[in-house]
Amino acid sequence: MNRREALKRTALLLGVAAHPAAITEALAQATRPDGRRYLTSGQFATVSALADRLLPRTETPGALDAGVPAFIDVVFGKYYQPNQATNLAQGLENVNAAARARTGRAFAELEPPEQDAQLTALAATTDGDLRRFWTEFRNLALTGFFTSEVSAQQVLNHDPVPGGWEPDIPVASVNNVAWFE
Amino acid sequence: MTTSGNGKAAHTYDAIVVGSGISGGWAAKELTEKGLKTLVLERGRDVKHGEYPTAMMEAWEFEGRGRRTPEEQARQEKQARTGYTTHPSTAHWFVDDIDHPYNEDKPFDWMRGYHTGGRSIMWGRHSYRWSDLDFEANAREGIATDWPIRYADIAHWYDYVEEYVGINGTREGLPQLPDGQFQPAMPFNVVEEHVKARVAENFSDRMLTQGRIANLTEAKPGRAPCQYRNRCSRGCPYGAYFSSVSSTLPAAYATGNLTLRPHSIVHELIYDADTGKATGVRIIDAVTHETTDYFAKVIFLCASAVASTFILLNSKSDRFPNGFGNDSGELGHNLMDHHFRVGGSGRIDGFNEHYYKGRRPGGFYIPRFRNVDAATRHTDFVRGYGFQGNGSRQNWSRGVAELARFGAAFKADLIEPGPWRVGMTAFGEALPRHENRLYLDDTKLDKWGLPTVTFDAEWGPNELAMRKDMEIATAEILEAAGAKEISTYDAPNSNPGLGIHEMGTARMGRDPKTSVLNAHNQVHTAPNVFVTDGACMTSASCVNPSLTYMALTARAVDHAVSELNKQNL
Repeated sequence: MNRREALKRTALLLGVAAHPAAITEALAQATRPDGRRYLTSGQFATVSALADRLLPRTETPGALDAGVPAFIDVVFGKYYQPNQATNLAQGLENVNAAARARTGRAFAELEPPEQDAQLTALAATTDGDLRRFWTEFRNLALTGFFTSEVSAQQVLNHDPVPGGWEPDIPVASVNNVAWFE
Repeated sequence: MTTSGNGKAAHTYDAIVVGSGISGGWAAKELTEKGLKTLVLERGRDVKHGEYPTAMMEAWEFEGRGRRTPEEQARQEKQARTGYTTHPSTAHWFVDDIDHPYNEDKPFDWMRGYHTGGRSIMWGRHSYRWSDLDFEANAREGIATDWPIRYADIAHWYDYVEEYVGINGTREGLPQLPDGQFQPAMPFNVVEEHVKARVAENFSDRMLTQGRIANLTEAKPGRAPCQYRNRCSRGCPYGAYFSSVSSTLPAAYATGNLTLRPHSIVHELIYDADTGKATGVRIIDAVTHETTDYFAKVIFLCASAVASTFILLNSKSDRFPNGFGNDSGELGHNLMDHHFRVGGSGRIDGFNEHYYKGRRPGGFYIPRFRNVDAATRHTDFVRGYGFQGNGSRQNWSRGVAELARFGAAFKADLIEPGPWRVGMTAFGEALPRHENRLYLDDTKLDKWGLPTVTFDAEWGPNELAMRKDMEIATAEILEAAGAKEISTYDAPNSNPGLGIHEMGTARMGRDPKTSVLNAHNQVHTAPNVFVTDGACMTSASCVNPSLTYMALTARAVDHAVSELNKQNL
């Protein structure tokens, strides 16, 4: 469903002039507190649960703290080609179908140990589409996490302007933490 | 329609330079510093030093991180073929393929940017001298035509430009890769030192040296040393690497003799049959579509190999029905590039206590070791190749492929520096072949009504044989380095052009019957027209060509001004 079209229709129903600026404003307002703009609430819940199990909050922030679901949402809605978006949506549906087949519940509704069991099964799948989905999802989640401002400030070592090149330092001197790139 | 503006006098300069990239910037600097009122015509928008919109942006400030929207992708489908140039941090330095179309009889990747500074903003910065192994190759092997110059003719000019550009590197005393005027090199990390030592132990013909790159390790006037951000191709606000915008054009402006006109598409040289010279150039304003003529005593074509050749081919007269200066029929032919995308990588175990600080914008270089003398002759091909590479610890992206891993321990591992890896890519010399060419299509016009360029070139048997050896040598070197999990590749889609080193389509030579330019880059039959970009190259060497364009340009300007002073032009 085309979001712009939907808003235009809503605007007409409400008797509001469908001025482009008004639509743009409405679109901006359409961003929900969790950062969701394009995925359905069900898709967004699955994305969030997957990202959380992949990169959980530990002594450092996790995927949810770094806004990974919102990043995946905007890639899905704005940066993917149509076939890529279809593949991601299908992959999320497949994850939920597998969860339902095994437990009767959607992935996001499972307890963490059950989710982890699902992910272990997902990693072992021989289904080509599922493997591609899982690889792509990991790519999105890891990118979204490790290139985030939260990672720069609270997870990795961020040195935006190093100013010099030290070709050999003890890794212990940076607490065995990688540089933010 | 020609508009004369304020009359011919207002459109007349001592010199005209077409293009403001690495060659045009040098022509502008040298001409203006020698006192010539110089007009630089740049077909794209103007960019001044510091106008680098993404230079200080952090990764998270790009909404899609490395991704671009389908609409953006659709406007740069060809420019995206490199896989890296159209990243959102640099896409604005590459042309819109819809507005700037070209045609391919055979696949050719024509990567370019239309703005002040051209590709000197996003160039790879590796800067190597040619040697007589290169300048003598055609004559020795009976290939194409002989270069009209030798190393002794250009050595001084290498010194001259290197001193100004600022290139860091290590003197090695190799005959096939002459040393230059170097700033202190950027040292190797521990794994690169390890690889260097193992290569020295295992091979008599191969060695590692630091990549010789045009990033300052010591300040120059108006330019700070490298800050080790490795964001070079976005434009450097510190002026720490050499570009026309950071270096030569500011110097040219400082003389008071430079006028730079952006949005100026030069499409024709104006030929005067009475004098046998060009009197000026004809431009279309890219914005207003108005045509204007500019006049000068001397004209430097520095628009890039393909674009300068376009201008020559598109300049037809009774004297030159097949393109300006094209008595030889070689104009547009002998199109070359470096062939690459052969290489490999492997894991280096140990060194886990070692790391580095800073993002060094370079790495190692393995100079050519095939066919450098009788002892290193290879039976399957002539010429040779070099490698660029580096060692580093893997980052978090190593976790993408570990499909079975997730959770707290997985995340903790990815926060740590990963295993060391060493990777290398070969860059090989391509031979000049008459059948590799570009030509103009007068039936497919661009939005300014100008003909478009069609490419008709492919790698020949010598390149294909060399590629096999490049992959074998990659594996040999990685094995000698003690690498594990070695993988090598020879990418099937490595088309001409992808090296972004287009050369050869208006070559220099000794004989007007077989070449377009003479030993000083003058059109044989119209000596006040100089071509000093990649078009002039008679062969390709295997090293990056920009340093040689710079040296040839400075040398040609010196000759031009000397000839002007003697009233010979």
